[in-house]
Amino acid sequence: MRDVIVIGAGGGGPVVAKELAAHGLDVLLLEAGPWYRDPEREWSKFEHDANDPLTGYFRYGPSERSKPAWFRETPQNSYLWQVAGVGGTTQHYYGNCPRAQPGVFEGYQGPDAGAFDSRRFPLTYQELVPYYEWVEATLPVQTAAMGTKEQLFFEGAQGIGLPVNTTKDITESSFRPQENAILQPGGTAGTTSDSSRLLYPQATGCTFCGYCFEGCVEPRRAPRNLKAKRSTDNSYVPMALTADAWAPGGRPVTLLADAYVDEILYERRGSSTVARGVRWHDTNTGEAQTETARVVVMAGGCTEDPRLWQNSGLPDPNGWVGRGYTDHYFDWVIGVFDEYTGSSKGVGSSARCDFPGHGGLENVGLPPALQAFSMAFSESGIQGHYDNGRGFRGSWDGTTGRVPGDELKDVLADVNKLLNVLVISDDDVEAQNRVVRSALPGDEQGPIPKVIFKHRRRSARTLANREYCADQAARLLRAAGARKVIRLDWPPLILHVQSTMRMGSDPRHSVLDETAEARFVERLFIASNAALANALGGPNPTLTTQALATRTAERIVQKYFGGDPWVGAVTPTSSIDDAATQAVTDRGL
Amino acid sequence: MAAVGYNRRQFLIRTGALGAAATVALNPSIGRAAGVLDPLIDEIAGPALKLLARDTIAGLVAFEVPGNDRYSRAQRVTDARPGGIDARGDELLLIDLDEFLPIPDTYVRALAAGFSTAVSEIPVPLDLLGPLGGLGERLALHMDDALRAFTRSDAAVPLSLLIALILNFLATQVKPSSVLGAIPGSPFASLDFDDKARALEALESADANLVAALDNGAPEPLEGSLSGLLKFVGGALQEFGAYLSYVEWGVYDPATKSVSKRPVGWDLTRYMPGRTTPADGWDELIGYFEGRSSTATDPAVLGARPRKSVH
Repeated sequence: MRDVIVIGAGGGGPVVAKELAAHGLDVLLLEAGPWYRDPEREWSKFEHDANDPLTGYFRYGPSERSKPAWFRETPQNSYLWQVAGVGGTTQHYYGNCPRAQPGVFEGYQGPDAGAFDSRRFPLTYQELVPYYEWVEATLPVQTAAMGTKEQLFFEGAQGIGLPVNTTKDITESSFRPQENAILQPGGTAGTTSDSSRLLYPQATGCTFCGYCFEGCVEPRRAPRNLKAKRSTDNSYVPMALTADAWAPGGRPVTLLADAYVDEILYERRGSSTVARGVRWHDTNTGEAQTETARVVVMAGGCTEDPRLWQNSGLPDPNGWVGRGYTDHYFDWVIGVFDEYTGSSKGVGSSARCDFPGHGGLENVGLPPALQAFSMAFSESGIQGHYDNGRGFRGSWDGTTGRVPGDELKDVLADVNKLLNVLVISDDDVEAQNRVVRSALPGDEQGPIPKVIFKHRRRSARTLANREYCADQAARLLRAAGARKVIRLDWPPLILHVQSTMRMGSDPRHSVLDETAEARFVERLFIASNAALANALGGPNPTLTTQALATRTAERIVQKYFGGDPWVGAVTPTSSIDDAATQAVTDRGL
Repeated sequence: MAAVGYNRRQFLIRTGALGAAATVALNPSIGRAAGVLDPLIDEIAGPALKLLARDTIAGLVAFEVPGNDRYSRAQRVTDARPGGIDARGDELLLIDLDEFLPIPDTYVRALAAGFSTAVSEIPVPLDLLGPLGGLGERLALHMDDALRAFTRSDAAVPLSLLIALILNFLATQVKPSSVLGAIPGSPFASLDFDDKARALEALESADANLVAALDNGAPEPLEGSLSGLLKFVGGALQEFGAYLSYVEWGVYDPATKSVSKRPVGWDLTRYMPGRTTPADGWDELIGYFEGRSSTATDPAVLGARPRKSVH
């Protein structure tokens, strides 16, 4: 019997695994997708090879790329962007690590308290700050360096009268460089385009290659834990696997990839339901395995955690398993410039605005094909042709909608004369947006999930927030010098995902209690974005999930293993610590 | 010989099935070039359905990223620069749809079953049919059989064919004369640019006539999923028609992880002029905004409220 089994090696699972391993627990970390051990050789950075959702190395499917991807039903115009594998979606994330808006936590009493989602976190912001600081020191999180696209974004933000935020906390409408999990450029990084001069250790940190979404392999020849982007495959997973080397009494995690968990095993003890292990199978051989543990942690994400719960037949007495899906109801606003913007270079996004009670904005740079995708993704039809009953007008040019094919090539004639702004709405937890079991035939893993977003019937607050932020984006781009501003009106791009197994203080609307343990199943915790109580007010969710996962690991140790909390009591070890680097190098990780 | 009913025959015309069959029958070389889809389907129907799928998908890709190819010319919106067809976006979309999109085959089959028996209550005016009106009952029966065969055989139904049938059904709704357009194998590909947009609008809005035709074959409890699926497909075809036209696939060798020349999409966007390999980095670092390279917790945030214990 293991001490703890963690299901899913994405943004949250490895955090729990690493923290528990540092305290000497026997942890099994199971990941359904591939484990890329040699990304410099395995990843090409080419867009189709990387990102094609059916065949790319960053897809939601098994390691063997000739096998089909895993299908999920989305019964609306939308795109659910999942990534399997060690690192999960942090493999393609931009490393952005803003803290949540304080207004989404219990106890917030600011004058704008009524502007936030009423479904709050069941803890105070102040209580979470030490866990934020712990994760920020571990990844580490640093202030983003600036390229041309960030410089333009800042000019635009200043042009619409926003002040700059010089702290890690959001207290007013403001702009700032991202706080991100990208190592700052050092040595030759950022100062040369010559590949031969960008090898580690001559270059350290981010080299501004522009391929965050295709996987970070820079600087080449750097040990895995010193790659610029702190996706969990580069940060928490190497730490988890070397816990004995950098933590006194630490014990390395056992990581198994290609291990798809089909079922949570549980038993009745009196009036309680208690988790006792998992049944999983090897996606290459099909061989089934059963493993028991004293505690099980689900960390498969907002779509897969509800699915596994439902497929396991676990109880759902209040009906909130899978409900309350939030996705920041993104939108996309593009500025077309006469001048160079550097849109395809550097970290995917290094600048942001935050609007308490509304959401936020961030700049996004993309290579050509993803840029084309972003311009053909709309709920408003095609500009000048049809609008699906929408076609909004505002501070952008014309109506919302896809850029039609005959104009697309002109707008895209120089990818480095564009500046994209992602509109991040603070969207409400709503019961109607949810994961259910699809009626379509299942796959070899069992029934598949169906992700439902009633995006045309979102709450008035969500819709108003989206319009508010889209207007700010368009005005920012004009202030930055855009000669044309295009708004797409994206359908749901289900990429920032939150709150499908939400924690809450009200047992009628939450699946988890304030420690992230399931209300209806003892010894079962959730440590993915699904555990988040709400959409955080708009900030990107990974950091908060990781802070919460750290806190969850503490609660597991306290409640089931008789240990003491450590955050605030000891100094965290960074994932770029020399002892970890030495162990990563020695063990060929 | 069994008869194909009038309304069923109209349906076969409207989905392009009869047009494609006539094209292959009159030009056997096209059929030979197109290959055979399934051994159950003989020498006309197989190539005809493959041609139908290929031409329709190509018509979609040319709509998303026009170039100077015959599909772009047929829609009367061209561009001197290379387009999605030059980038082989149509080939890639066909492959992705038929070989990799993991929609459960039973679902595709159920939808195809709708097409295997669907009829069109809205006939194409006789004066627009031209030579299609004179096609023998034998050819209609042949194509009818071919479509039915897909749902009887164990082979996977090509999703591209299903989508092509849908797009063509909608195309002839927008413009009945497209049954005899510039691309004989595909009414959709024969539409001009504006009319293609109208056909896609009908798909995105889950056109009632289309849903009625397809629901015919979708068993419970899938029936209710249909309009949602059509909305999803209506969006996805356009997003991926654009995306796949700008990727490197057309010139990429997976064995060496390299391209044989610059991808069309790179030239169209002036992406990394002169390069054929992704960059390792750029001299793009300006510095730190206001010279600030680190931040900390705002003391006012911590001082504002006492900590709450959960222990």
